Amino acid sequence: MGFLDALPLTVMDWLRGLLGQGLPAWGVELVVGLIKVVLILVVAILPVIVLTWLERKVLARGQDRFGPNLAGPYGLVVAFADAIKILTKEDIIPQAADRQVFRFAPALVLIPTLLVFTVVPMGRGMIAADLNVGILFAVAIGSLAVIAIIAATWSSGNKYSLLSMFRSVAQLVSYELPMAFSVLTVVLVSGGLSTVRIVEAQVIPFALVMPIAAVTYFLASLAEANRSPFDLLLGESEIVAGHNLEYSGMRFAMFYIGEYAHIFVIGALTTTLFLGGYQGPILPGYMWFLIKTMAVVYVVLWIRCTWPRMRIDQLLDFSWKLLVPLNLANLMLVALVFKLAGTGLLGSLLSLVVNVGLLVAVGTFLVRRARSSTSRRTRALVLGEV
Amino acid sequence: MLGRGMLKGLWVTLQHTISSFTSGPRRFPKRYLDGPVPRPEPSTQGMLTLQYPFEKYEMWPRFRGVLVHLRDPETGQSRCTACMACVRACPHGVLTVTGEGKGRERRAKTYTYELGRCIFCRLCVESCRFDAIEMGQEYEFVSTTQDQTLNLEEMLALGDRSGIKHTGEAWGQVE
Amino acid sequence: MSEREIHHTLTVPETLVPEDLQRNALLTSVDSVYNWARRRSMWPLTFGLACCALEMIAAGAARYDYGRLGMDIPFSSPRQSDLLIISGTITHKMAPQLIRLWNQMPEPKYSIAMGACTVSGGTFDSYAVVQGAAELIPVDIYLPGCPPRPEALIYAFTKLHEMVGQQSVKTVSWYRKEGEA
Ligand code: SF4
Ligand code: SF4
Ligand code: SF4
Repeated sequence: MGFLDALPLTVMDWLRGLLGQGLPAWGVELVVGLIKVVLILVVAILPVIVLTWLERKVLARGQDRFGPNLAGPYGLVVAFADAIKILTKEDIIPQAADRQVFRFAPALVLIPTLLVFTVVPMGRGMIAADLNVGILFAVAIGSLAVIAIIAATWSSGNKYSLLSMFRSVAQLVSYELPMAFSVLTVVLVSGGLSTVRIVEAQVIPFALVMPIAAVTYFLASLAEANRSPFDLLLGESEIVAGHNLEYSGMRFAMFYIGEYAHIFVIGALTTTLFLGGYQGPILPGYMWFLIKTMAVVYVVLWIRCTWPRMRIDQLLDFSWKLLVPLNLANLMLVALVFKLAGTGLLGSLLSLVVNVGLLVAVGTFLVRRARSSTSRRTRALVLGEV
Repeated sequence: MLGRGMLKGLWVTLQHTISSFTSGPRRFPKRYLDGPVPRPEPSTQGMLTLQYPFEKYEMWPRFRGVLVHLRDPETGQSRCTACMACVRACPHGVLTVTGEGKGRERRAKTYTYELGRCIFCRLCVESCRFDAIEMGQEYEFVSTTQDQTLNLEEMLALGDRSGIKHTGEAWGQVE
Repeated sequence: MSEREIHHTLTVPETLVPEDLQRNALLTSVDSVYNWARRRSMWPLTFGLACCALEMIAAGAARYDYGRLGMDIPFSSPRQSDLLIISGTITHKMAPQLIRLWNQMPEPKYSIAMGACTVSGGTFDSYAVVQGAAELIPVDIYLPGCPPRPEALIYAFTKLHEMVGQQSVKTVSWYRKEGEA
């Protein structure tokens, strides 16, 4: 562990020592805990400022445009313009709204996203709370965000936002399962639920050991964050604008921040579970964590700039008819492989072979069946015929 | 297969992202082009965005901008004789003209042009037999009032600004 | 004749701040930050009525890209947008919807009447068409043309930005609104 790598920990220890001279033990823990809370808030909110800019730039560049470039150099401070404008905007509460819930819901949006950060190891030893059920906590809390969506839509008193809530819940229920299966595969191999343990188990990143689980997890978390191509609840052409339809001004800003914080959470959790977390050569651990997370975030934005929105039936089909059985099979095969060959290099290699083999087999099966099928929809979906 | 198409789509946007920095008339970190921008060929790759307030396209000669009056080089005034041909030709009653004088001495006293209703069809210019009016190159017009009427002096000033000269023959005759 | 006359003078709302306070350094810098933020992040409402809407889309696409001005998130909910671009013929059938959308937008809000049809009814001097958007809602900027060029639309945006830049926090109407804000 190099000096740079341990720098944040050293600072923390020094602080503990400093506080220990004047405060009782519980006081030190309290202050340190508060500092950690503030740090997590910073880690969760700072990316939002960068991401609002980055998303608009990535989308624009993918479409041969400039994106915002007049607010500051290269449009870098556009997020501040957004913030000031949105905070000074009028705040409308519709007459049909359930006022208390309507006011409360935006605060609820951010909480699950912030809570997930407590179990993400951002560097060697840099974790707010190393729970022994860390990843279970992350998965469970992650799905709580839908409560906020339900509260917001139900209290808005608007039928379009209600429709978007139905979609969102259907989506969450169907994608929670493949997500859980892929996380289960990881837990099986690493032999523990603690996030630190999962990271330490990845001598070879799990994305290379079991690509099926990695891709499934990534897609399922996209669906859970309601990102493109699964952003059905924002279907402008059908249901106006999604769950935050009636929100304006600062309450809308909370949804906005929540959305971007969630993208960062996708990046952080995918990094932790499948890309080897903070592990990497030369650079300090937190740098590796940041680089990997931003790479995943870029892929999220890149997908947003490329893929069209899926239809609701395709979305559910994709989950229930493809991802769930595929991941179930993957889970069993990987378990078998690691039981027989051990968790060493041989097991990893075999697991990769099994994964690719499974993918090829399923692909061949699907194409075969689609070729002999007379259903136009199946042929269009699988073979790309129009 | 569907998956292949989606991956191909990702590849295309990645290429565009990269080429927006590396090719086209404006490579990274150059931000603005100098002078009037020529209209790019359709085959040009890379970033083609016109950053409007700082860069402008050259307008082509037949561009139909705002209606202007041309100055007669000898008298320095408009050649309009208030013959009302343009008023009759205009499909929306955008123009109103009053004249003074008789015969060859007849000149326009007032000439009002309701810009907010004009559809830039050029019928008025084609109907004018005295080469008095022409479509200018200006398109930057806004107002904070609904009334956007221009009078003779304003139209003459706009004609000066757009730099159009008398051709000696009307556009309709050229056709 | 000067350029100023051709482009018509922009009307600026009367300021409520007393004369001696107007040059107050704090107030002016708050104003400038506030105006800068609204200029650089003016989200338009996705709302197209007729042929002019295509030109509005062209202004947002790769060739002209009004996203450069920070406007690249066209929101489909009026609650989150600041700018209503009325682009196209307003038929009497569409008038109630237009008014409703405008009323649903939160302050501070702006509107641009784009094209001859919205300025004065344009080529449709008929029983079915509203003769100008000003009959329905307050319009900040009128932009003639049939349709206006995309550059002209962006020119209208820059003029609107100038207008926004001359406003003050004190003149914003919703600060004085009765009841709950
Ligand atoms: S261009 Fe057409 S609409 Fe405009 S003044 Fe001439 S004839 Fe009338
Ligand atoms: S502009 Fe031409 S057509 Fe119109 S009144 Fe004058 S001379 Fe006649
Ligand atoms: S002004 Fe012209 S282009 Fe615009 S909506 Fe009306 S008719 Fe169509």
